[in-house]
Amino acid sequence: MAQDAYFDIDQRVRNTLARVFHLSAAEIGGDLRMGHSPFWDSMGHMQLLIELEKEFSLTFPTYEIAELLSTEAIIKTVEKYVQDRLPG
Amino acid sequence: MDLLRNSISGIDFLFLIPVLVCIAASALVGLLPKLRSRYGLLTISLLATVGVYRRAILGYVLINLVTYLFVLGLDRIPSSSQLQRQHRWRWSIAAMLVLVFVFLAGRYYQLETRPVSLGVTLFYFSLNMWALLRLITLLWEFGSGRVAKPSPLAFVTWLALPFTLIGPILRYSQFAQQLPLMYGPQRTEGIDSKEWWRKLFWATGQISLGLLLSGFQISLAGSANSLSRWEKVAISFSLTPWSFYLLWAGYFKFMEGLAMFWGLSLPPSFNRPFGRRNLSEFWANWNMTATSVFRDYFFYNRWGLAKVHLYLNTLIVFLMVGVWHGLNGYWVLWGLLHGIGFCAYLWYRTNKQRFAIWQHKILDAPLRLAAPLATYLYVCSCWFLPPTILKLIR
Repeated sequence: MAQDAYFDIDQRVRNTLARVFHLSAAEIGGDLRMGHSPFWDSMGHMQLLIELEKEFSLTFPTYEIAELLSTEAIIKTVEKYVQDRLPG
Repeated sequence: MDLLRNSISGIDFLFLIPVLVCIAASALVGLLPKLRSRYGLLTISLLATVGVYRRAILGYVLINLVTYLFVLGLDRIPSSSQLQRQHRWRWSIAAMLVLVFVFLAGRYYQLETRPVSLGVTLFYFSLNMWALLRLITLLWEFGSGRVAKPSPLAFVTWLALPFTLIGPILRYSQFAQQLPLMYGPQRTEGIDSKEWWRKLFWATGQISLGLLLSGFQISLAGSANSLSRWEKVAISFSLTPWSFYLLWAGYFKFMEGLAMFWGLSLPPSFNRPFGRRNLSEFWANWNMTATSVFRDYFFYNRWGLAKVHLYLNTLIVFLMVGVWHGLNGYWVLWGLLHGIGFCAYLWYRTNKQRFAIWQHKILDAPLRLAAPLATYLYVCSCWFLPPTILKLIR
């Protein structure tokens, strides 16, 4: 069950990346990093942040925004906040 | 020949002091292996700092000491729970604001020029643009929990590093990662390689050319009244940007090469910024260590609002960059012009589809060529236009 939830986060993060940076399904696999897509620059990063916050209904602390520079880092951070929100 | 003589006479040779200090610092470590120790490097760093700051050393020590004491105080706040971490973060934000306020007050009241006599004449206040950014990165990284409390030795070595005294920015996290390597056996790896010599050669060339161009510009400024408006425009769009770029790109590259003697890897600062297709690309390649601090801390920020506002953030960041350069109308306008340009590009990028009608095989090539030229002209205009605008306002 927990694994499903994590898979869900992984997939939702990747889908958000694909939507914001106009990437195909093949391109969003693996660990995509800032700069890999021409759209993922500082402006694109903020657009991604807005979409991620909408997607997961969360607010990243300011100091963490500059750390979310790869798919892996984003997934890890989102998982951390989603887990914090779970009851118990 | 006269042109060359005039250019040389206009050069500000004080710029070479930090260069010479850093050459001496690296040569000492290269020639005397015994100095490659914690206290050896610390001693050279302190001597280099005195050499660069000279009479402002008292002010430089004071501001850094106060900041370090604050970090020690901040460390007393426990950080095991989310609430405690937030508490520490808020205190570090407050400290950053105080630091910015002190920096601005120092500029406004020109505190850096007020001496105190202690046998020798010293200045009790010194917080230049690079020292401010460096301390802000420390407060940010420590307050957010990214780095642990620096030891006094690590802190002093970091703030007194000869290669970063007047830029570029080496964040404390980047420095702390490399600290063990500075005393390790691999510290001089890469020195004497073909690439290293090429880097130093280019950097020296850039500095020399930058100095000559700035000297030429200064000699021309002496006869500014006899220059026509178009000659002034030509200088602003050619000499001014290139002399500044070559000088500082060369200086930072030179520092990167020299820092390798200490086993340090400095992040790159300039990556051919002129000729980029838009303002976003220009800023991503211009003075990168400083720009990245503004981007990471102030552009990636929600400013206490529930939603991120890209246009607002853009204007805030460029106004801050402007004021960082100088607390006067010129730099505020410079920041505003860049902010407006960046917002326009942001708007264009978000609404690119509307311009699909312009995409045409015949038009594409000229547009591709026009984009770097337009970006270059806009960047130069931001340096050139503020005095004219200020005159119009007054």
